[in-house]
Amino acid sequence: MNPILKAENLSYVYGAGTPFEKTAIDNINLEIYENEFIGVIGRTGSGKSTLIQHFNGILRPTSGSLYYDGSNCWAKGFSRNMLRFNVGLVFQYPEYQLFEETVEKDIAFGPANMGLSVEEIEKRISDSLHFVGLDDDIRKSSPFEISGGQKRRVAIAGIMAMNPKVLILDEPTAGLDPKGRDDILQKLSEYRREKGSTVIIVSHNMEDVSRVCDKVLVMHDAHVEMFAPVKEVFEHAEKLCSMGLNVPQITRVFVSLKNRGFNVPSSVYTPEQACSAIIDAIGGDTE
Amino acid sequence: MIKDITIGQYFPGDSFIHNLDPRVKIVLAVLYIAFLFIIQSAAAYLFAIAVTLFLVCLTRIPLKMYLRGLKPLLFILVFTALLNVFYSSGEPLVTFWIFTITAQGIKNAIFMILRIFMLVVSTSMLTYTTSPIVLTGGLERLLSPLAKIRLPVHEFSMMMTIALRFIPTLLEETDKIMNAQKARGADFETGGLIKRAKALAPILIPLFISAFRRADDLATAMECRCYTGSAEGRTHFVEYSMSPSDYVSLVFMAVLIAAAILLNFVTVMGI
Repeated sequence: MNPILKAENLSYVYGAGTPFEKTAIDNINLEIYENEFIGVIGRTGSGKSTLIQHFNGILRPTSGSLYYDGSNCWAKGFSRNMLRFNVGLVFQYPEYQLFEETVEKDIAFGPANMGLSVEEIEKRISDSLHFVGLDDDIRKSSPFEISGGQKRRVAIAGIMAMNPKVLILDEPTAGLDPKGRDDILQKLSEYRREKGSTVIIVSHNMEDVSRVCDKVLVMHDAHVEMFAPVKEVFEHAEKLCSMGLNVPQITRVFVSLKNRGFNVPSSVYTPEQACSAIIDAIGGDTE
Repeated sequence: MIKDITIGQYFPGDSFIHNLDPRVKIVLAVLYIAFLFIIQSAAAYLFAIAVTLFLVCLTRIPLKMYLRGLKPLLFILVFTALLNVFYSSGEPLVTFWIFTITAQGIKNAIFMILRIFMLVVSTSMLTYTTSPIVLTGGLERLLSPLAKIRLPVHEFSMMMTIALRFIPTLLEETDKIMNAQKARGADFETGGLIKRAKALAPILIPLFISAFRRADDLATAMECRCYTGSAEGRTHFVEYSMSPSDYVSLVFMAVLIAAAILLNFVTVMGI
């Protein structure tokens, strides 16, 4: 199977030639396939946001190349708008970019730019509202009068309405309450399952990442440190901690249990796994 | 594009000029502009160029950065130069059709370009070597005598500080919003005037809303810290004091102006 997105020696330097010159990402090589759910983690300033802004052609790499579905995104004749419609990017705090008078008009902005018919746009609006879990009665409200959590959903719906093959979200759960957070993550999983799209989220929250993602991309100092299935990544708890990152709380508990001589695996990252691991450990002891 | 705007840009450093008292630096910048308008003769121009380049070296900021500030002025520079070349009186050098080029005209054009170049370099020098906060602080101290005649000097400088402080923030915000709308396929670059003006709405509306939100938050934060404007007894966190290098710079400036006046009477190669 061909990767949907492929980065080859991708580098980006901010403010080249000024005293503020900084290499944000350095020689990145990776392949992303259809229907993957990827979590991107890394400290502030490790290059996560810069990397994902390359995926939809907002930033032009200083060197190296990016391939979408096999074609070079910066080759002559490649339509960057086509790329942006296929790789939807939801920025951090997307609610601050709402501008229309009504929710439905705001969601229609992307599809209208794609040149879709009125009927198709109508359909996209109701579909995406359904995906983010909002009722149809919100359509005529002003995006400035609804609650913060609803604004966030409307903004995400605005990108989903373009039906992107790859949906990227930069910290989609930042500043939301626990319920709002669980809700958004669940909606994203549903979206991925129904549409078969790739979903990429940038997050600081290891619990979020461990719950919904199947692969984790760890960025450190402008480099890709690890890019592997969740289980493999959280096995390296110490390495992650040395990079100033964290592992899910439950993993930390199991790592210290193991250090104290209990016979448990250290790669546990969900409550369900924890349950069976503990049962195994106790069962083994009593026999 | 948007990041190329250099207004109020500050390059942190530790040079002689960086470390001058901001009050002195502002006075010096004004005097230097006066100096640039005093010079008339070719000898004085050569002297001024030498001094300007010397000062650029003193700041330890590459000349390239100063030249970048000239880019937006390129059109005005070329335009005034051409006007000077064609519309100066004197002995005609070349004549074709309705145009006459005089030696006087060429001289005027070169002098004009040099003067604008030095003006830009010297004013950029002030903002490149002084952080905006320090700059407005210095300005406030310089203008403080005006508070006696009930001019709101402190409020004025606070407004300046806040405005300067928010230029980079708003630029960054504009960039972010533009990218976010581009991600939805917004197109700001093609189409006629009306289409382009309409394309700005998705940027301007979120930008205004966020500016008002920030203003509101900032006002609350200031009130929480009991800010009441220039009420009696308000002190400054940083007090400026003149050091020997400040006095040296002021004397140097006085010498420069005297030299400029003298050099105006010297003729080099008949100019």
